[in-house]
Amino acid sequence: MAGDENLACPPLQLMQFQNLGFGLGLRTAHYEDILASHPRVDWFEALSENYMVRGGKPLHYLERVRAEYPVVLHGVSLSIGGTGPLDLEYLQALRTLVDRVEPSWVSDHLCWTGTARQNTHDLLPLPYTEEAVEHVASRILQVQDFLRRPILIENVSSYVNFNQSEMTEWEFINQIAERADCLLLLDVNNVYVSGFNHGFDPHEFIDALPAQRIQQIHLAGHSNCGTHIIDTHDAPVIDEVWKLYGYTIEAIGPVATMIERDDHIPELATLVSELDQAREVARKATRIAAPAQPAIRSA
Amino acid sequence: MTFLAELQGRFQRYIVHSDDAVTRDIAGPNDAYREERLLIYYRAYRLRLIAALAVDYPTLKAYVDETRFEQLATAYIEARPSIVRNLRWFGDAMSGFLRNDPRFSSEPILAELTEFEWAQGLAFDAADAKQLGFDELASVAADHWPQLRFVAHPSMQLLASQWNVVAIWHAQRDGKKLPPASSLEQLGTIAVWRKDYKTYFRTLDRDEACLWRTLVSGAAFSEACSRLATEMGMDEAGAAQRAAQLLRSWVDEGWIQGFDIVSHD
Repeated sequence: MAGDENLACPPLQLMQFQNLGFGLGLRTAHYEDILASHPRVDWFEALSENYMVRGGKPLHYLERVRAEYPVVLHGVSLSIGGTGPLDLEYLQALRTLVDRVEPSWVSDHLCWTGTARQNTHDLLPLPYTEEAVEHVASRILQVQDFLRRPILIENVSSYVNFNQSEMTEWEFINQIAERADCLLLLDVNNVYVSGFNHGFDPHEFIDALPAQRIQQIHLAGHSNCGTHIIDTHDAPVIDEVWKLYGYTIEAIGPVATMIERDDHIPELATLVSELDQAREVARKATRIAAPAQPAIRSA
Repeated sequence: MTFLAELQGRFQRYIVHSDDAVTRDIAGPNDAYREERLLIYYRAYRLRLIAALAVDYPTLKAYVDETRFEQLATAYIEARPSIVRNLRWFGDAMSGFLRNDPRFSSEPILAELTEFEWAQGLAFDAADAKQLGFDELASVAADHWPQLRFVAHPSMQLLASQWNVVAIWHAQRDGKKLPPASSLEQLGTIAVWRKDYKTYFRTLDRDEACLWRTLVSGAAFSEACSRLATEMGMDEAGAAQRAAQLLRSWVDEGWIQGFDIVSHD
């Protein structure tokens, strides 16, 4: 009997965001081209902070792009791992932007950006400790309550590990996602970069993540300095990252995927071609992929 | 204080103030490794902020050249660690810094160029508002004109100018050799504003600056005309005629978002 099953296993409230397909970061240099050429792009990711302004061209173009494409918002300033108080002014500005844009979803990074009221404007690493799990998870819950929606948290590239870490990065992400009941933005390039920098196998990282929580994937290029890799988003995605992306899709099924380019930004057509490569890698991987899983949030 | 808070404090002090106490927290085979990895964050902090300032101040950068711009930007970064959430606002205090810091205050052109470029940024993403049209103004009954009080478009700013910043800006935009700094014969005024998502600026004559300042401070049209006559030594009729002419150009340029009619009650 269905009722008995429910008693045995408390029901989960399924919150399934649509798989938006293949997207690009929305960049100022491409505004006119996007509106004029209607490129082969399924959706755009807008950097939240760029549109937390009072008016003018940025919001004008964002709204015009939004009228024609799904848009998601991606922030760099939430500082979800920061130990200062959550910045309510920032959260209010984000909520205002969310109300205006009606994005498919909202994301930021699993990091901290500053403390003692200062801001380094960088995505700084956290120690993988029980204390940090508890701290970050409780802040994600507060943010989700404030925004009245689940958020996606993205793994960052890192260049140091802390002596005090008590677990791996993937265990850290798993525990936070579970306790905060949030979704994940998996940056496959960041997994590759951090794997290189810290000597772990990126496949082990991918295998360990809760597939049903991965709502979006980022792909990007980076700069290899020999002894370490820096996550610069200024170059095409490299072959090893394409392979890791294919491996990821085989493991978790189709997921909304986009390419980030923040420097040395090429013509829109060049990025659209690179996005076609993502479609092709995903198409091949999907043939042998596990079935797509809806994102799950417990009630 | 929790361990996490203490660790973040040490990490930030390394990035912002070069305090290397955090080195003991970093895992790695040796000090050289730890230093190499920490330096990535140390350098990225400065490079990111310098890049943001270069976006805000391209003319200043061209005027002082790349090397000196880096020195100037680094001095600003060291003096004023960022406390803003959004990088858009980090350069906000640059003109005040250049005006007051003894390393730069002997060259007032630097602060004035900075103020001019920052005003253009403010106009670029100032709040949206409608821009008053001629038809709306024409519909005002003649006997209400003396009581008209105008509201400036949110992007509209007036700057005092003592130096040839406009000539330097044009040369930079056109890729020409930048002229040396030279002071103007008399203090000038520059208006900066946005219309149809494009940022504009132009210089103002003394009478125009006087009338605009009076009107946007809340004076009614008739009061502003009287003030114009007094300040510029004009007769009342001449001042009213000049004011009407200026008002037409302001409406055309989009400086005004609306008006109300001052009640005598």
